[in-house]
Amino acid sequence: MRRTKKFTALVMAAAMALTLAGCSDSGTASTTAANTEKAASAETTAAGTAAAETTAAAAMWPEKDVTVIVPASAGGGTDIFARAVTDYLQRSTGKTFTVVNVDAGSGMVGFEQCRNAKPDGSTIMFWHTGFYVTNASGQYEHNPNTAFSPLVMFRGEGDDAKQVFVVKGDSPINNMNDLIEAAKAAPGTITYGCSVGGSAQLVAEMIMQAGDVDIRLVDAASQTDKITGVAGGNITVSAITYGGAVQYVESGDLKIIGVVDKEGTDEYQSASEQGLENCYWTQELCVFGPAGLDEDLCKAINEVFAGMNDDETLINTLTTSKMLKKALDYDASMSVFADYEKTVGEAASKVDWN
Amino acid sequence: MDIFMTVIQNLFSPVCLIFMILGCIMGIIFGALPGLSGTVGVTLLLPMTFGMKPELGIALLISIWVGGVSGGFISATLLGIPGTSSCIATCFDAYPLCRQGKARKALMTGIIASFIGTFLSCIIAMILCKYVAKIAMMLGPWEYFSLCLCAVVLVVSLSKGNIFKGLAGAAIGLLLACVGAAPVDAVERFTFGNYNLYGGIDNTGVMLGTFAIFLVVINFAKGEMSLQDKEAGSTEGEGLTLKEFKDNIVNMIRSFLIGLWIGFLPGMGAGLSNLVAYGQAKSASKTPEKFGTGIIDGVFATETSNNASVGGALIPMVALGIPGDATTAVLLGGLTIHGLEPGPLLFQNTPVYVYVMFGAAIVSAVMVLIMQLGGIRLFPKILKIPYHYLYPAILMLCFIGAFTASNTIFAMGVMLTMTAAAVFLEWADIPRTPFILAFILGGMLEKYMRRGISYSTNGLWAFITRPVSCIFLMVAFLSLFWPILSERIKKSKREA
Amino acid sequence: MSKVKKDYLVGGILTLMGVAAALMSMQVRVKTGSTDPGSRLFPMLASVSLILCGIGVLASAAKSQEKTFLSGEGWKRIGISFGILILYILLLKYIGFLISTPVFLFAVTGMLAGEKKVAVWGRMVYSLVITGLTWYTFVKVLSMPLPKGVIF
Repeated sequence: MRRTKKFTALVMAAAMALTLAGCSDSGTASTTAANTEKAASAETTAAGTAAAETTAAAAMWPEKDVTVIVPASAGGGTDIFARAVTDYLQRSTGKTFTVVNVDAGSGMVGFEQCRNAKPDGSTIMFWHTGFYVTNASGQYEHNPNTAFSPLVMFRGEGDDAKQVFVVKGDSPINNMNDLIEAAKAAPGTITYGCSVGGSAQLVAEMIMQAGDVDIRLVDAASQTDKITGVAGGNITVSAITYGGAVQYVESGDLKIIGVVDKEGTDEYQSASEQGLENCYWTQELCVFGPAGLDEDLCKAINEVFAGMNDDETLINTLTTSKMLKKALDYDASMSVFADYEKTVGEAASKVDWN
Repeated sequence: MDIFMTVIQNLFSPVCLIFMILGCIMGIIFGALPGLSGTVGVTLLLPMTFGMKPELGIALLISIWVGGVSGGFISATLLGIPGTSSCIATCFDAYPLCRQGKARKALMTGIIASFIGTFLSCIIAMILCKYVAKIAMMLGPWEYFSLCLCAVVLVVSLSKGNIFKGLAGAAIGLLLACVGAAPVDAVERFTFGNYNLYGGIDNTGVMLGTFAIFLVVINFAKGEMSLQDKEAGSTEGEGLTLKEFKDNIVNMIRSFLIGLWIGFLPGMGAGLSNLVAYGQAKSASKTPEKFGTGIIDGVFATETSNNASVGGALIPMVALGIPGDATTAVLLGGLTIHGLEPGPLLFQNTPVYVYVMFGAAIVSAVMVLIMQLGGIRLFPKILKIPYHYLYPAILMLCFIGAFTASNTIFAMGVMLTMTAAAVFLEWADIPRTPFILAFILGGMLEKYMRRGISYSTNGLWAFITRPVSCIFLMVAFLSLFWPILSERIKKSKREA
Repeated sequence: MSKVKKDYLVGGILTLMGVAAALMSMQVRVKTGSTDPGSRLFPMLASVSLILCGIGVLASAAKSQEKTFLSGEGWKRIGISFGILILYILLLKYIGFLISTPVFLFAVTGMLAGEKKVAVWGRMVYSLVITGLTWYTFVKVLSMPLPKGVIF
């Protein structure tokens, strides 16, 4: 008698739970509809066809809550940018966007989570163009353009987004050629801090090839590691963001000897401008989705992101945090994605990654 | 003087005070709930601060942090479950005290120790910041490695009973830390092809599995659930006596310094300092065998040190823009978002905000003190909830905590595996503290060892030729072999 | 049959674990030409330490005291608890949070109540209320996702 009572109780509990589940889903659905309507009516007050297109895109995506994977730890450059943009997305579409940091395994667990997610637009990933190097070096076996759906490419505005080579403030090395001379004069003593298998290593290999010299690669994973290592005199040279380096240069802890990007800044010449051939790298942030996303959906996602270029609040936030970037439209994005795959493939093939 | 006026105006404006109070409450709740922590709270609220004025946003985030560090000890004392990794060692003595009906004493101790830790460390940080910061940059991987090794060895040497078992526990912890992508070259180890393991075993899962879930399972197995309702929740009984406080001043100072120093070192924070301080307190005590049975010294040690890490972590964050631990990393992100550039010039360029940060930490410490003292009658009421209603909810929270740390169901499975491992360790009489400490530090130990070897031109010798590193290694060596040596010396004296 | 001292067993298990770990460590790939000792060193060191400790425990096993850990009933209960916990994870994976949790809470309240009589309807209300509250707080207020489940 007791057993059947327990069983009936369990069944009733399950039944009530099911009803709960059913209620919550329909609840979300109705709020979603209301939000889309609000978003749509807000849009019509803005100018012309552009607004109508954005509305159509926003109606197509997102349909439900979106998970934004950031394969890096909270507080870092990629993470902050992702959070700022996600905040904009949530404001403009009215849907819930949840940022999830999955920094385990140098980001690889995050990559896999995105790659294995359902291709229905509910999961996207913020990462950067170093992805192509991680693939080309053999560290990650899946190609970003085929195993994922590239969605949006960002372009950094201004100098802050560039990367620069830094040495210790009181180092005798003043420019890239000095560095190469020093490496030739005392082989094995010059160390370059980077995380293995990524874009930073590719840049180091480029320098070694252009200068025909050997530099020891040592491990420095985060920007903090690099700054502490170089400023503390334990690593000779490393590459960090210009925005991050400026303060340390002013305080005398670090010195900039060259710019990693193709074009230098007003003050500093780039490595290629200083004579190192084919020695440049531009790290851009971008957004991927799992493979198999419908092309129309991809275009719609890109459209929704494109709205951020006109959003005053986001532009203010990004400018104050020195990471202003523009979202490129779909065609421009796709061509940049393809470019990276090609150039990285070529450069990486000349490197012995072992 | 102008600066101070501006800072005080900002901090003590009604809006700011209200936000900080809310932040402290949120921090305490997040810290107390297993599976959540102050870090999670700060990360969650970060986007909400985008639109706020910088002073307000920063004050809010810092109040959550301070609340979080102080909140974990509530669940550690009353439930025996550490709310965050900074309270693992607190459970060892605070929980037995609670079960003996001395909940009020344990809570008072923790509250006061926490306050002293945060308050003093922030004041010291504020004063010493500029001068001491450069030290952080002079330290290299050799010093960090030796320090971590010293910490593990210290805790191992204190394991009561068989030292081989203590070492074995540490070795198992180290092996578990090796699961996943290796540091430096990201080679896969012990992953059996499963990409979920590629990231290694998550800290949260291990902590929840070996402490929280393990406790519930073991109590159930031993039938010890009813003990809870009997004596627990008594807010009668004495609080902290002045004598007990005075007896522990040396203990507090030592633990405070340990917490301050470890919080100062980039990458290590309250999670480590509480274990090391506990170990040190035990070795320095005249009655080490009482540790673990409910001795007030243990609670003083852990709570002073984990809160001292707050001030310690602020120093490199403010003076150099280098995060002292996970939460400061997010706070730095918060600073960047508000247009403040963390780095050596933060103090020079925007001193107002720097003092706002210190001020917010100090004010939050006071708020938390008042709130916790006021709530001291309230907290033990939690224990009035029948065991069979309270703990299922706690178990559920643990599962959620494991899930949210990595967004995978796999993590929950890992957590249960850790519970099974804890059962094994308990059966084999292998102490859990060296195990968990070695696990937490394993990744860092290996990373710094390898970096130390590769950065320098003379390989392993650098660990000994660098003076600071050498000192730590000697301390480690001595603490491991000293007990054996002193026994030998005593024996030979007796025989002579 | 004489009762084997527990420490002999423990020592043996530890040594075996160390050997297994050492074997696995030997399969770790070492990159040539890197400036640091490679990823095989550390796990090998830990494995060897474990083997040595295992032997150490065996050696000192004769002096060890015998402590009973759990009675037979105790082990049975551990089995039950693990069973329920594993089941919860499986349910979460396939059915999702909202349905699995009330069932789980219901079962665990019953389990922990032991001999005490607890009203069935009390447990049901509790299970549903806690699930609902938690779901609301995490998903709606904090925007933290909870397990969704494959089927639902």
